Amino acid sequence: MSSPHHPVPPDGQSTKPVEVKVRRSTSFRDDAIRRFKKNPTAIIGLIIVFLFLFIALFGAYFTPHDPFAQNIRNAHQPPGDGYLLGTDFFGRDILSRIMIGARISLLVGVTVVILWGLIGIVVGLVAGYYGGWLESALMRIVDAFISFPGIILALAIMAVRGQGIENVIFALAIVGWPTMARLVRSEVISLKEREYIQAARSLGFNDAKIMFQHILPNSLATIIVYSTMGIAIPIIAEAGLSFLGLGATPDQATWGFQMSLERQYMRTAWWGVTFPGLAVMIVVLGFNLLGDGLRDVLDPRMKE
Amino acid sequence: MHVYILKRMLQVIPVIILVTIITFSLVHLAPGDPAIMRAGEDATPEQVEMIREAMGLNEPVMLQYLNWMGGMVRGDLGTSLQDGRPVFSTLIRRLPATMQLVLASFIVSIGIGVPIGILSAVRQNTFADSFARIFALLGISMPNFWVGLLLMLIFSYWLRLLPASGSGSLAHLIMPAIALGTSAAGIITRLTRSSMLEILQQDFIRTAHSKGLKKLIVIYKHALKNAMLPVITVIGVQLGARLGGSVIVESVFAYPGIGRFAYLRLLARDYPMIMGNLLIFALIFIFINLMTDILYGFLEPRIRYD
Repeated sequence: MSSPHHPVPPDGQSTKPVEVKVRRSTSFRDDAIRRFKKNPTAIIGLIIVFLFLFIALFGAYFTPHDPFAQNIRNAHQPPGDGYLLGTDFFGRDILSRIMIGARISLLVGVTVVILWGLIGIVVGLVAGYYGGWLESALMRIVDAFISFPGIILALAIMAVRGQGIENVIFALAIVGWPTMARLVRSEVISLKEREYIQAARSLGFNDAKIMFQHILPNSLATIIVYSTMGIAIPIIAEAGLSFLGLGATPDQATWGFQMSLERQYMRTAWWGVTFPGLAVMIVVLGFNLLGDGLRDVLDPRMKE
Repeated sequence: MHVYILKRMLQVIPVIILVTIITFSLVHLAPGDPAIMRAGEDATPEQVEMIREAMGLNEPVMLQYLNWMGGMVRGDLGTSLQDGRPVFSTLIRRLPATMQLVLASFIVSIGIGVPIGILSAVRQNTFADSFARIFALLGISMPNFWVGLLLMLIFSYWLRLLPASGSGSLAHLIMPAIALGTSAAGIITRLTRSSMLEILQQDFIRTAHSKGLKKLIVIYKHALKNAMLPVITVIGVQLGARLGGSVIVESVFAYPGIGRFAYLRLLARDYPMIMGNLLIFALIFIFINLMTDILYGFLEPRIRYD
């Protein structure tokens, strides 16, 4: 994923062979959009992600039933009439619960990846740009965090801090930022010897300006691709934590918690665990497909 | 080579120290008083104070850390808050069952991922290739506990072919190993495919073909050997992920390994156990990665981690 090759802005192209210039009769953006449109799996990914965003943001207004209304007489209705995906032990409509659960998945996925970015980009930039002892120190910290299996560190943090979505976000941010830092650092290392960076340095630009205005924009393609696929990671992890009862609190309708509730009735009501899990899978698939497609588009040389 | 190994080993030392600091601070920032937890709800303040003194909780944090580290070097990770048993031996006893599961999941993921990846690369852009790519993507996208639940539903409840929980026989291992190995199977399929595609385009493969060697021999004797190098590098990382995954999968199947045990003690906030667990998992991960790096250094002398 971390390719050192990047679409260099037009002014950085002077050393490229002539045929590349001929191909650049269209702008990079037009070219990228054209490539994206020719990629059917990326389009499917985009559609899934859009649907997910739409349901997460507006789904609460058109759920077929009240996702929180309990009616024990309605318990475990099979999928079909009235309840497309069946009902759970409390007689609540599973489709409505999945729709409302999308909110928390989106919230966790996006917030966690933003936090990874905030920490990981700064650490990666500083480590890669300055090198030396500072880099060694920062990268050993990164190595140490990566040494813990992610889900266990997250579970331990949850056990210590208690249930709740804010704690889930905190725990998953702590667990995931080092990977982002590693990625950004390797990008920075490959970019900082480029001529235009050397030029910026010899012009006397200060380090922060070089890092944030010259190196970072050229690493964005990789960061965007990783972040897109990365959203899938906290979504699966949140489902896992909530499934184990160390994630969301019971009043927050999440996919993972729904599965942990319905697990004991699986023998008689298979739909209780099947559909929320399917929702997780489809959303994760969507982000993976979109991420793959973006990589092909933003990083054309990476393809095969 | 010796210098490389030595350098790599020296790098591990600060990482281990940082791992212990992270583990220690995580638990010491926790709310709640471990002395009260050990003494129980209805202990008198004097009893709690005695236990606090005995546990060394009145000493400065730095000293507590050093004491804990000192114990660790001797293989003493303290005693459980729940039942007073020694942490180290309790955990180590449960490790073999988990290692069995992790190994079985590797057999699943390599046994599925490598052949499908090869097929996919050799038949690039055919139906088989599309199938393999969809398979890999689905494998990566399914939560492991959900795979486990579906397997249990189908093979235990509906078909009644496999036991739903427990351990002790090969049949008990099948479903947890598949649940734990599915995502790695997807990753290994993708990696084998891309690495094979790259190798198959190289000159020595073309030479082998033009010498008139059989296609199968070229693929298995020439290409595969080279294509497996990147796969080896992910095995270390994947092992760490499997150890983590074992917590969830073992809980689904009530499999008596260290993962399920860790989960139960996490719920009980048995802090010394949690610390011991984090530490053992991290040390295993560091050790395996060190080994894969060294192995990689031997197999591919051109690229050495520095």
